[in-house]
Amino acid sequence: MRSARRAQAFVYLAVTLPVFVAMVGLAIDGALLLTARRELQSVVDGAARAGATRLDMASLRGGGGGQVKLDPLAARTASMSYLVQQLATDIAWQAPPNARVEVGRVRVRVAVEGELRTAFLRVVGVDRVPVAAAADADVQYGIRGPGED
Amino acid sequence: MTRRVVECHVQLPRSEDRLRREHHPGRGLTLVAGCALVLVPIAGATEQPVGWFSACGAALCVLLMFRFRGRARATGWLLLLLGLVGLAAPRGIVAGLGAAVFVTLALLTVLWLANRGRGRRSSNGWREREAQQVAGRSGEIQVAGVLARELPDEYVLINGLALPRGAGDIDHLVIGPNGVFLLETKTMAGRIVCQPDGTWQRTRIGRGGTSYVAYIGDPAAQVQRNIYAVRDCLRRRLPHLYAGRPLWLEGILVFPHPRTELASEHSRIPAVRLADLASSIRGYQPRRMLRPSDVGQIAEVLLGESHARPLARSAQALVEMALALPVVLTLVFGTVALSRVVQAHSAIVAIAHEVARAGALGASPADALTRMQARAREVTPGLGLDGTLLDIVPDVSAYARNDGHVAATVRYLVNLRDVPLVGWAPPPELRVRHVEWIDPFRGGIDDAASQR
Repeated sequence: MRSARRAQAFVYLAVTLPVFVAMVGLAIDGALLLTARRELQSVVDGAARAGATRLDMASLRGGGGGQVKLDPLAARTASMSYLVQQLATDIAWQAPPNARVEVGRVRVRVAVEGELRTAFLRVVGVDRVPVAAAADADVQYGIRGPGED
Repeated sequence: MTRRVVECHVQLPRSEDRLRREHHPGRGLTLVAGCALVLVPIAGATEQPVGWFSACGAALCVLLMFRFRGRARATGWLLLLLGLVGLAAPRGIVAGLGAAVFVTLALLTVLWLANRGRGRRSSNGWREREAQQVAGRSGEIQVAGVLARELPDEYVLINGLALPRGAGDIDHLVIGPNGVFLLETKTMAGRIVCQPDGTWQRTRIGRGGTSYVAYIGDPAAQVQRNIYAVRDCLRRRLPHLYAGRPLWLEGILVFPHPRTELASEHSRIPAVRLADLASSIRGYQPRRMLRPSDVGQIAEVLLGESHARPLARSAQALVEMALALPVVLTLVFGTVALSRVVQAHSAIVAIAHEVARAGALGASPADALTRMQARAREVTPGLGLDGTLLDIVPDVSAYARNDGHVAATVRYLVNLRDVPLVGWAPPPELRVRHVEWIDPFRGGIDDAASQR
């Protein structure tokens, strides 16, 4: 009878332990995911703004200051350069993330997708979680008064 | 006739008591009143002052309704109805409606949880079970009477003994010079057969004359488990009884019902009718005879063990709680600490972002530095961080019109010392760096200053 009770306790332990581990893992990995997502958004914002600083000089000068548009190549290079420098630090990627930079006439759109390594959830078979962030930056020029948009 | 009879039976609740309980308003009113004291101020504070009145009114309605008309089934339906009202009701049109619905739903949920299953207990199954219990108890009284009357005074009879590791109560325990006997009484009518494989079967004849199989379980297994429990106890407390020729405990199944037809030749525990019980105990030939002092000691030890039961149980519960509580509390406070770390990280990301952006608008490195410091002073107080643990390092060394940038590095030590169970851990250091490129076409940049 004693061994039966011990076995019963082991059954309880066997049932509750994975639940506890999963809860703790979910909390810790959830926190890691949140912080990484927040940091990634910050990097993507900076990359979009870095790209938006690269204007097409020839067009600007040829148009007498009225033709303001982005230099697609320079903008793309600036955004990518920013991403390469910043994404390499701090964030624990499972594999190199996939970055996409789209340059329009006056808008840069940067999107990054990747998979983060989990710390604890791998115990229950989840070893990676997807994360993505995107940001737009527009070229703003001139000063407009109220109602002139 | 023996006068050494000890009654340990727990009194079964009488039918009138049960009936009174069934007609009593729902349970949990005190609990609900306590919940109302907490919930009403919380709900009322959301829509002052109307919320106070509506929340108070709702709580009073629930309490009064269940004081006089509390039924478990009604609670479930009311809960469902109010849940739908809460979902469908337009927000902000009737002042205080939200607070009233919230309080009502919460209190009804508590009442429903406290009264779950009460309605089902008055079903036919419950009545049949109670009838069986009453019949079983009357059979036990009958057996106890026969044993007390027909056994000599050298025997001790203990009725309804419950041991910590036993399988329910031992209906009757007889201790005499020729051994210790554990008796299980089964007051059941019908044909009762023990099959060759040891399983028991009970067949009854219904009112229409047809036979049907009725429940009996495995009475032999129950006696066997009680034998183990008594043996464990005696081996531990009276080891001399197991030195040399060990004490043998005998189990007996008793069937006192007059309409029992018994076929028990395959049973591993002897089964007897009530008429044969006392003679079979008296005539038992033991492997080891017990002295009168042994008989007294055995009775004393078993009764002592029986009294120790509630204490052992509560001690076991205390030990289990003591083991589980640190784990649960660590989880709770660990979650609090984790949320504090996440919140701090989110805050320093925002600070680094804001400070670097402010620096990128500077006209010169010195101006950028001033702007960054000013921006840091502006944004930090609103983010709930401890200023003494925060370190903001602006970096304007790469300030230039072309391909220039500024950076802000923020470090923060998360203080967890006030979080119980986690405060011993060294404070985690968070670090975030944000780089902001300088727009070369922005007006106002002091090129001479930026090149110095």
